[in-house]
Amino acid sequence: MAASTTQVILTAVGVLTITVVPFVWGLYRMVKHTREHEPGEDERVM
Amino acid sequence: MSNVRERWSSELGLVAGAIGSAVGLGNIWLFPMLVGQNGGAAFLIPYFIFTFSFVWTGLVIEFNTGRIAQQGPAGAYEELGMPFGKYIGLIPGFRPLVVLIFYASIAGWTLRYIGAPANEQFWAEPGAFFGTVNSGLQSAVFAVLALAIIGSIVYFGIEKGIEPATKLMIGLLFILLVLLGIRSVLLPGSLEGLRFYLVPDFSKLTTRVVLNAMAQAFFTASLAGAPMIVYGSYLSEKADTVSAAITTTFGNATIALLSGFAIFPAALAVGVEPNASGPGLLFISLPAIAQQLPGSTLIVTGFFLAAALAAISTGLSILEVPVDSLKYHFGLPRKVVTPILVLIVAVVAIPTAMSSELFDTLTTIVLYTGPLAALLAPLGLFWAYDGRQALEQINEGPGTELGDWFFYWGKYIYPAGILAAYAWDVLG
Repeated sequence: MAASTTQVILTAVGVLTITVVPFVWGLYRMVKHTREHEPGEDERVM
Repeated sequence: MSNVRERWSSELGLVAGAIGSAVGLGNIWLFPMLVGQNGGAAFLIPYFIFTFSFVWTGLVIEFNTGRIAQQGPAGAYEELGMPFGKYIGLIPGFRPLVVLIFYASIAGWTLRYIGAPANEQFWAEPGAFFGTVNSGLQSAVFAVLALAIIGSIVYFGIEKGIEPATKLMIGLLFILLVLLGIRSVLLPGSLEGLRFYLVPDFSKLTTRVVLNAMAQAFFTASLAGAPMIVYGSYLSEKADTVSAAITTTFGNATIALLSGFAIFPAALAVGVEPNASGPGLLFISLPAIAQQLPGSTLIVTGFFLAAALAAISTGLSILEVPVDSLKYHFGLPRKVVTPILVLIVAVVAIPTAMSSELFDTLTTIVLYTGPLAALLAPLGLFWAYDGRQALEQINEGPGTELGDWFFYWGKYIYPAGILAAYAWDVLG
């Protein structure tokens, strides 16, 4: 039996959530770390 | 000796560059094509499983190969203590030059196609039009134009060239794909395409589909032992590489998914089967789909602009690798090395763009050298270097701490996964 419109819409939302949530989570953590720890000149020199 | 190495302004700069590298025509062209040929939504299941397992971990390994060695692929293996590392590094250090020769042609086609809707033949005979674009003088001119754009961005370095350019390009690409996806989903009859794309038919989930998904997951994230290593080498020791790898992985997957949303609902709404092979889906089927839709010129222009942005942003990382390699071997500055390399690539890219035989030979060389280049990162970090020490250094960043499992994953499972994916791709 073919999936109903509601099922298709819910699947679309679910599939996008699977990729968007980890993306936003990683982004949030990096922005947080960047604000907490601005690199100094000494760290820019090997 | 005090040696100043360029740096990203923050991990966000790395993520923009790395998403720019990963998001290429593999997302815009290859991903929808493979979904179409591998049973629609059935392909998405293994694709997500490999994305959640191999891809982000692979990026952690490649970023840290560069970050710990503080070298791109040309110098990383010598620095990590791999026997004959200096010579082994020549393969991943200069292989991208060969990739760039044929990638310039494809990037050139996308540039040419931005203005294609103005040409009547594009709409009337898309196949014949593609024939005029992918060969002869026109192909060569646009390949050189693509190289010139890539070279002029790389010339300005990481913080002033690649980082701001990729931030802009990826932002624009994302907006374009969201708009195209919304347009496609709102078409009358789009539900059939969404069903094909999202609701799996488990009878189509064969071994072949699983292995195709695995190979695509590796390829699409630029896990080729070169671009992600050189980008990782511009990070400081306090960088949060785990969060950067997760963000890059899922940013890349989101853009691939959006490409599918832009293509499948529109394709099935106008009765075009979404299983074309080769460049057909992007360059030939798309005009056929779009010409039946209102606002077709805008749709096609937007789509090829997105494809061109993806191709150029990937091209930046491909050129950055040999630029770094020449700097490493000869101590020459970026502003000398970049124009020299662009000139060398252009000289070879012109006949390649004009001849499909030469183009096919180069793509074969790239395909067969891929496994070796990609295997070097886990071998360098977990075998030649000290795997336990590598894990400690990965965990020095402020991100999520990886447990002991990552040592076994990086040392045994990840290399086995690469071998399986590439063996399938080369043999298949």
